[in-house]
Amino acid sequence: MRAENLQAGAALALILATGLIPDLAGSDYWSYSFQFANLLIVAAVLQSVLMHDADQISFGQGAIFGVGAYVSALAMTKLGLPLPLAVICAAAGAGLAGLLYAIPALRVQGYYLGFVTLSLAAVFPELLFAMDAYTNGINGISTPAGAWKQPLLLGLSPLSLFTTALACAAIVGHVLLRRSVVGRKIRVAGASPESAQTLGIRPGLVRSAVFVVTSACTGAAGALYPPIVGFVSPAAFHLELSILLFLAVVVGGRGQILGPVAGIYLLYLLPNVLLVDLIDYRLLAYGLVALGVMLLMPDGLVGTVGQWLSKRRVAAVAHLSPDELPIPPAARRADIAGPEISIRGGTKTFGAVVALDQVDLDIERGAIIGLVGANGSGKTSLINAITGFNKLSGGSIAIRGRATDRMSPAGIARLGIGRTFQTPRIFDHLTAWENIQIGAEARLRPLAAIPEGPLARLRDRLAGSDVRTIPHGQRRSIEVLRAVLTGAEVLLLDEPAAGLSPEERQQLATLLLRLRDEAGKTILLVEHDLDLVWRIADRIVVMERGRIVAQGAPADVADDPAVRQLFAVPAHA
Amino acid sequence: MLEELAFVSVRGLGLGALFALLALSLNVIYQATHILNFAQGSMLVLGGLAGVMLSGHDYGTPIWFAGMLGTGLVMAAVMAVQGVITLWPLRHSTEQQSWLITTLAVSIIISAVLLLTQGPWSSEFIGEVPSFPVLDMRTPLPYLVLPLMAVFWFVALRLFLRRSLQGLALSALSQDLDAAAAAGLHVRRLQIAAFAISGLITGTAGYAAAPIISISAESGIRYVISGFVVAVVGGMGSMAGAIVAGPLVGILAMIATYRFGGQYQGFVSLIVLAGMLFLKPNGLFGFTAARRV
Amino acid sequence: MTTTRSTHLQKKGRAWFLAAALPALALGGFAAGAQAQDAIRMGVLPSATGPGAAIGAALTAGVDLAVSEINAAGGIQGRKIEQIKGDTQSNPTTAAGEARRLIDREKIQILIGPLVSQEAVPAVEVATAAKVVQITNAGTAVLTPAVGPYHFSFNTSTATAAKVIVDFAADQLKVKTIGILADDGGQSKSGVAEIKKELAARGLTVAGEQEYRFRADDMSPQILSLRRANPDVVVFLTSTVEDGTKMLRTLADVGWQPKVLGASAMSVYASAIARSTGAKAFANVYSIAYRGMTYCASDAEGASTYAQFARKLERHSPGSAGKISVSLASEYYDAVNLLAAGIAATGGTDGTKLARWMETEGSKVKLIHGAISPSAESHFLFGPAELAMVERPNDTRADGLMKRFGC
Repeated sequence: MRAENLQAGAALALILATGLIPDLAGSDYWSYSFQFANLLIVAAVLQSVLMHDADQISFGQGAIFGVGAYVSALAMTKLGLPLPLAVICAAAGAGLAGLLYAIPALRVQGYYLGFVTLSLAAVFPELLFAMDAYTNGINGISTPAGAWKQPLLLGLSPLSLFTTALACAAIVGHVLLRRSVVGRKIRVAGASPESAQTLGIRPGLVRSAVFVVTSACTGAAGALYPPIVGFVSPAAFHLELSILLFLAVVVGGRGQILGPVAGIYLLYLLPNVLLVDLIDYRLLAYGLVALGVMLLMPDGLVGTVGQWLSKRRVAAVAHLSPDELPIPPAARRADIAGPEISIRGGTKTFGAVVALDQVDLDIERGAIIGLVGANGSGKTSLINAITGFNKLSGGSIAIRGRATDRMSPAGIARLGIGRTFQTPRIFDHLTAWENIQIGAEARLRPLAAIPEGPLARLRDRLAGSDVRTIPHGQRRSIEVLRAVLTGAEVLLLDEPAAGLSPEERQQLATLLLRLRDEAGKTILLVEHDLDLVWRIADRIVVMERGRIVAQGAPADVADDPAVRQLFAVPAHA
Repeated sequence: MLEELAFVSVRGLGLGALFALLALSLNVIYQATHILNFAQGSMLVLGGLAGVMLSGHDYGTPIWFAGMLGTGLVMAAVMAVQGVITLWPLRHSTEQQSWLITTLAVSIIISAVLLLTQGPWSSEFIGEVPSFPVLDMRTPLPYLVLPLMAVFWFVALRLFLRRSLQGLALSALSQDLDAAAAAGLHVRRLQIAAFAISGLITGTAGYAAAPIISISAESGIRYVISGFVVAVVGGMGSMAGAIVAGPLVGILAMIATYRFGGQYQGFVSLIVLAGMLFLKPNGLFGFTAARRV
Repeated sequence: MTTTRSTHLQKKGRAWFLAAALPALALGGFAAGAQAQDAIRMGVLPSATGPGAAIGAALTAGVDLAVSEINAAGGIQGRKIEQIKGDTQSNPTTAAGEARRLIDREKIQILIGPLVSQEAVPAVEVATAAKVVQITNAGTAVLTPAVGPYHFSFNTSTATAAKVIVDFAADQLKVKTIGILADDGGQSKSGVAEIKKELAARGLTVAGEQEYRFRADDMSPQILSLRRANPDVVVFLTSTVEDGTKMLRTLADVGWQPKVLGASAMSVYASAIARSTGAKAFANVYSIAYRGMTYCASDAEGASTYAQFARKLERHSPGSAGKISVSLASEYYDAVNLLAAGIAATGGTDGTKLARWMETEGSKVKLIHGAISPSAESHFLFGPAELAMVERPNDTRADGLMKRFGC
């Protein structure tokens, strides 16, 4: 957090200095250059939000900037609107264009999304020509700045003030976003969509929203282009602009607050303004700077420098024991009796492969159910079916009597079903505390008050510790606690003991028992560690090749000959 | 009308074969490293430059072949160097996307060097290019050579990747990088070999296509985008996909230009790309991703 | 006695005279000396990089040659020309920034460039505010004398060129249907729009219209599609040698030999294109050119200024002379000489005076391209009278001139 504040302060200082001093000094050239550079900074910050916080690859933000510029120019020339209104129109128009990017984002991710946005940006100038009835095509649109460039006070023009303010707002907005609930939800949705769904977040919706909002803000920055240059034309919004924005974010340092500023200074100001006399060598300088920085500082300029500076401070290693984890008291539930989850004839096929075969199962409230079976027996498929990640091919599932066959994972999560995954979904970009906090923020169900004391103590313990230093066993505990904090009444845990030491397994067992006894949770535990399961489960379900072959109390199941065949059952069970 | 459609389809096949060769070379690198090489288009242009430099001297076919071989080897070396540069930072940091920037930067640097040495003009192939008859019209020979070359490299790659020890090692990388390393394979060395093979393909393709492609500082990025579109449509990493998707995209673009006008040529690739991503996100022959939960 | 007194007085007078004269002479000497050292700062702003780099190189070469000749001859009234170079990067945003840098920081007094309309328009705003005379190649009708009182275009307006082409097609070739083939660059698109307007005004039909990508790989779909439409003549707009070459080659490949009407680039690039395609490809090609670059059978073949220029350029920049458009370079050679004449005539680079001179006296200057014809109403330095149509533009006389149609 401190590093972020430092970076934000440095960024604001640079923007204010470069935005205002040229006007004070009366230099037309520097005013122009930094006004435009500050707009690029805004666009780069938004690209950073898109790329790092939301994990969406877009190679086409330059085209969005261009949309903003054109809408603004048209609003001012054809509709006669003043600049502030033109900015709003531009934001709206660019937001719509962002929707166009969002649609492929619902279908594909990663570099495929990058190619679609790249192709869209590449045809953008052609699109402008095709619509030349509105855009005036090749002749462009003249947009005199008028009063906006007239010095107001001490030589400062309103345009300089406006662009400087916008750039400062972008920096501050970025920092605030990081620290907000919305910001955390965005980052979770980007880093692990399935994990987000268990927290009731709909990743598709979040992605679309992020594209639309960042595009709208980029369009607002683009709206200030016409008065600065006095003219908009297709040649100004070439693919190179999109590539510059993208390069600037990574070269400056992905995910760093100061990164976009450093990137724009390195890749735009350095070759175009400081090295401007090297006409023939400018392009070479641009390429060499980008290559050089990435080779020497692969985490980007700000990222690498930040690492050098923070190497001194050794991160504290937090150690959590189950007793310290705050457990909410049992919620008083006035609803109907009956099983929490009920499956009838559940069948799931993937082509010729039968993952679930006519499964009938009831999971009663307040019990720990152990689900065991060999690999491929259908255990994870069952959890996926319950939580909505896979739709059943046949049969039905009801949660507290309510059919959930058609519901999305996020919807099912909101019914109070929490789950963990085989590999713990811990987010490196959030702090250890934030990893737990996002559970509470999900607010899936009204949460009975968690004892404030233990929670505060936990927060203090985890504050300042790098999530990467937390050992594997406690990552599981964090994930479980996160699920608990969502208010989920039912917890589906997928192999939580995998990779834990015997001591950690004991701690896990204690935690689960506390959750059942003190908090009244229902737990479905998929596990290979039969020892653990037999010790804590109230009821055990055995699966084999997609079917349930045995279920009942641990002692009964142990005696079942069908089960004996499958594996060696612990004698003491 | 049919005659003309057939003619432009032949042209489309030739150009599509060029894009398929680009996609093949992109896939070789992608399979071994999961890197998308944005500099591939510039490498194609360099291969073409070699072809132009050897033109106009009336050398004859054997020398032409020798030139192609030489160009392939030189480009293999050049791309091996690029591979070293690109892979080096990936070893030393948590930021595993530096390759995006380094490959783009290499592309920019090559453009800049071309601008400085060749000037802003495109380098023209000097001399008469033999042509072959198509229906009652003529087409330059490269339009025939390129499809043959595409088939050659496809078969050669397939044999190499499945029959030779080195090739099998490369295939292993594409399936599971960690397991391959654990099995004792020299991952870095193999990855650089992949870059070199990619250079061999691209260099020879550029050389053969020299009479018809645009060899200038500006054209690199355009070719790599076409290469990417074909690779994605065919299925990223799939050689068979590249061979099929290349001519498909090429012929579609030509037919669309003939029927609707050249101003839509840019839109055609976009529509094909978007369409494929909607219908079958993993491309024609792509592999579905393993389940995530 | 009188002589002594008068001598004394004379002596005193002479002394006073000398005393007064010496400083005046010294000052005058200083002024003359200062004037001799006070260089004229000329900004040169081509698109040195980006898609427009090829034409930018032509501008630079032509300007370089002119400036070195003028300086070698002692400069303009003893003042040498100092070039301060910039680069628009083929981008309007950068063009505006560079114009500001050259004018604001480098304090240039006259400006050559940017070349094309999209880059010129934002730069003109800056130069106008600073009252700096500027010569570009912009063809857009937007740059009227009201908008750019100090701006002059070493070009005809796109509308003028279009009218000449269409009139030729209608009146000389007597055709009824036209096919249009153009690249997707800015200048070509405006050209096509103007041509279509003129065709409509003359009652000719557009049988087919096709566009190809700048530096296209293959034009056969476009050409075949136009062939189907069966136009009487094909109007062809191109921006590069390689596209012109490809177009003529494709015509040969498909076996179609329509009459081709090329825009000015065709004239300018003809010899370079012919080197690749051979002269036969130009059998049916006509194109538009500056009258000063053409001859009629009756004109004496002489030591044409253009041929002289071409030879001088070859000596001055041997590396690029073979590749750049010599014709375009000669335009900027002319532009510098025009401005030099103006500066000499008005005694300085004052914008208002110089602009006025251009409008009224500029036509008296002998240039390679003939004489300009600007006025207070139009700052396009060439009007329809300065344009002519040529047949087989690759077929030049020894002095480098093309044969005018109908001679």
